Amino acid sequence: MKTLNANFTAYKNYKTSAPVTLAVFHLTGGVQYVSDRDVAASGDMPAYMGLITSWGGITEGAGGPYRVGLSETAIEIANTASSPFSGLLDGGDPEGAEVELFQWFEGMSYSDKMPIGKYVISSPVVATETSVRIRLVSGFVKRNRIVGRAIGLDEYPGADPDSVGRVESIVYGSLTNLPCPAVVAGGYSTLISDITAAATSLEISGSACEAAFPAAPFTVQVDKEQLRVTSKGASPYRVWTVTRGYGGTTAAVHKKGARAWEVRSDYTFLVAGHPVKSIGDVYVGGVRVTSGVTKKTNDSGKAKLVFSDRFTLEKSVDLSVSQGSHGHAAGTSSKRFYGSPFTMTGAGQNHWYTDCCSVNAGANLGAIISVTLHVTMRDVLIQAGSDPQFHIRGTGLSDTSTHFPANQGYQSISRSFGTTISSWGTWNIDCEAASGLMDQTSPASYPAIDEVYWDVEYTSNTSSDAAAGVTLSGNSAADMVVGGPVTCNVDGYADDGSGTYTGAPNALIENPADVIRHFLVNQMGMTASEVDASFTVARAALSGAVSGGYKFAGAITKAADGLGLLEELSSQSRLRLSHDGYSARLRFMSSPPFAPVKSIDPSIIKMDSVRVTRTGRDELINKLDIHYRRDYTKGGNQPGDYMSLACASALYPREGDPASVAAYGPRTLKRPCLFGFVSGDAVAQDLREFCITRYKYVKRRVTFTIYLDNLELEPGDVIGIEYASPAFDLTGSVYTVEVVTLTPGSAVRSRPDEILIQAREV
Amino acid sequence: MMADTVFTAGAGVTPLSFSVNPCYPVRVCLNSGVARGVSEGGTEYAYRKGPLYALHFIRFEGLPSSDYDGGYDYVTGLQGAGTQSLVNWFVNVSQAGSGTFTYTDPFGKARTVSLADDKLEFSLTDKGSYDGAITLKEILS
Repeated sequence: MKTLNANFTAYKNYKTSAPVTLAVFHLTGGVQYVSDRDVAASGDMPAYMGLITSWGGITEGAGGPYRVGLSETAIEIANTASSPFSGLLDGGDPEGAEVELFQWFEGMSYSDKMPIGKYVISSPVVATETSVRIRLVSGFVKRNRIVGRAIGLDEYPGADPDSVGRVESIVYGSLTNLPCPAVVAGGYSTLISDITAAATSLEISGSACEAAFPAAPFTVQVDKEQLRVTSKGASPYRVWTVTRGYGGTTAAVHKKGARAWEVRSDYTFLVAGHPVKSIGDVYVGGVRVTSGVTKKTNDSGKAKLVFSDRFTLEKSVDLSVSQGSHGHAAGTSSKRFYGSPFTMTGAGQNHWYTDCCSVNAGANLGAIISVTLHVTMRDVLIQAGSDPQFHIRGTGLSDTSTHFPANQGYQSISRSFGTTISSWGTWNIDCEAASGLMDQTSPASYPAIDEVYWDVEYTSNTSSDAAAGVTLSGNSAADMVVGGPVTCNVDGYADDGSGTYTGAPNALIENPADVIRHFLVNQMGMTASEVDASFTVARAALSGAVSGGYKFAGAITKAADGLGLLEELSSQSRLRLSHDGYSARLRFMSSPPFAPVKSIDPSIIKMDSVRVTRTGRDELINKLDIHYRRDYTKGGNQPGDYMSLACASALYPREGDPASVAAYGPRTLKRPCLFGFVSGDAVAQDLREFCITRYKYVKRRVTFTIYLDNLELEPGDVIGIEYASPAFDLTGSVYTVEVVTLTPGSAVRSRPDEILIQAREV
Repeated sequence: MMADTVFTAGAGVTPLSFSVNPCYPVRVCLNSGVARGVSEGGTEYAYRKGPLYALHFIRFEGLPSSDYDGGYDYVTGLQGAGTQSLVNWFVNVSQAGSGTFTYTDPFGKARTVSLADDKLEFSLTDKGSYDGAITLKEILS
């Protein structure tokens, strides 16, 4: 309930009084004091002109429990005075001008008047000859803005093109694996063709999506070699003259597509667009980095990681070869090799068949080889004392020969003979007529080798193991990764030295009430005084709601509407936020058992004003999955971008509340429940159970009218209704006030000031 | 002997002195400016939302045309010099109700009033005179 000052409380509780609603227009041309009647100046009270002909209802709380409670109304002002009101509006841009509404009572001190709210004039302003109709919306809408500062080259001229346009993260709580965009990246490009180790010129791609290089001279690295760029050539500066093997590196061949990146002494990655409490582990490409990085929690108001070198990771492949074995069974195979016929050209000649059988790779087979030579000759004159002979000889062979008997006259001879060998090689067949013993006197009948062939038999005499032929050389280089996505664990915003937000100096701001308060001040431009004590109450409630308390851990990584973000934060912490244009109020939505702050009985309910409806199936929730613990490295905001799911508990199994499901069928939210600021299991489960408990049944929604003596009621209040009639029995239940509409009264319409309450049974 | 009914405005405005008196009794309605509500339990709420005021319903019968629109030029919307009429009073002097003037009744009692009518509705009779009524609002507190 609203807290009202004592004097005002006394006046509003009178059943007979003279309530006056006052409006103060802060226009460009000056302040205008108007009401629905003339009020004479008195003491510190200025004179109010009775120009307002009609008040609209001043509504708070419309739109649902997690909508930021902003009131709005409309008023109609007479436009026929000597100085028409439309003329005052035309004197300056009225949209955005502030209007304050007050509740005051005649006879009461002006300083005790109650602010109803601070508004701004909203479009459209409709003026006729006789009236001006003005719509007023809560002044908080002027605070609303797009939250999230984009990374631009104006502020970060060395930013990676992939980082430009991303948003400086806003971090609350303890977050893991937060992506950090590169804001001082150094240039990079790729080679458009292979270069040799000796080449002193190269050409880069230089596409628009690459980071630009500085003016020469500078150093780049390609694979493991550094190259000093001494000239960048003519525009567009893609053909470079380089000194190879710079900085103690070795010139090497580089392939087309190899990445060339600028060698710097610092590479900076932005953790958050604000100071953070601490930075934990740092990862590049998912690999934890333990050196070469400086963690700056507050570098000119931002949190950064500064690397002294580009992180490089030589990826390798673990060659794991299964040796296995396969047997070679003992057995014999053969192959026949033929030589060409040959006719001698004189007496006493030899003829060699060289390299007649070259078979290798037999050694590992352990084979035993036999060779059998077959030779047939004709017209061979074998004289007395001669020693015709055939040989098999060659590398690695002992000379094996066969001889023929002497003094045989002309003969055709044929002989087969062989040898064995234990290794393959190259060897020769030799047909030899030693000492002219194979002479032939007539050239027409010189001896000829008609046929020569040799059979090679190889025998595998044992089974063998394939391992004998495989050598394991360990890991093998597969890829050189330069850079890679940088992420880190980080504790976000810390409180100031006075403990303004948390009550503890320099503490991590993670209680949702503290986070929302900090967000309002730092992102929405509110002053600390615009936050009332309700935040402290909400903080305490959140701390005790679950074991360990509610804690946020999340980041804003995309630009978003501030009011929308506040609603997201509220929905992830059972909080109801409202703002009357002067200050913000926060309320933790409690669980049973409820303690009503007020009992509404027939003595205060306007006659015949009670109306009861039922909430209906559309509001039912009896089954709910909550996705939480967001994985920010995935860059999206879909269920798959969350690492945890709260979908079952002892209270409500995965199938939801059995009784409600049996009665109504499964009912859940139309959109996935994506809670990016929730990281705790207990919190996620509590949110799930709270939601199902509150919305699993169709409930009564009651509207009734009361008068100014209950002006302190506000949305979020839990009330009892002691009202029973033949038509309705509203007793025995508690209700949450959803919407409050104050409508100032009118003498002309004989209508007293009234307050319409809409409340939902809980 | 009753005096004439007279409307008097500021300096420079010719008073309107009616040749005939209103028909009596003149009905007077006193309005408290209070808006009331009652609760289901019978609690009464009475919020004063405006000042106490009286409405005087004055009816003329046989009002001569000289009183009704004598000297008033409907084309120019101006009243002839030295003359006054009810139509001119309605259109120009009272500014259709937004301006106040003094109403002196036939008994000599003067009241600060404004015209409470959005329109002036009189009937022309076969005698050439006019019959009709006006409502005067007198703020009392």
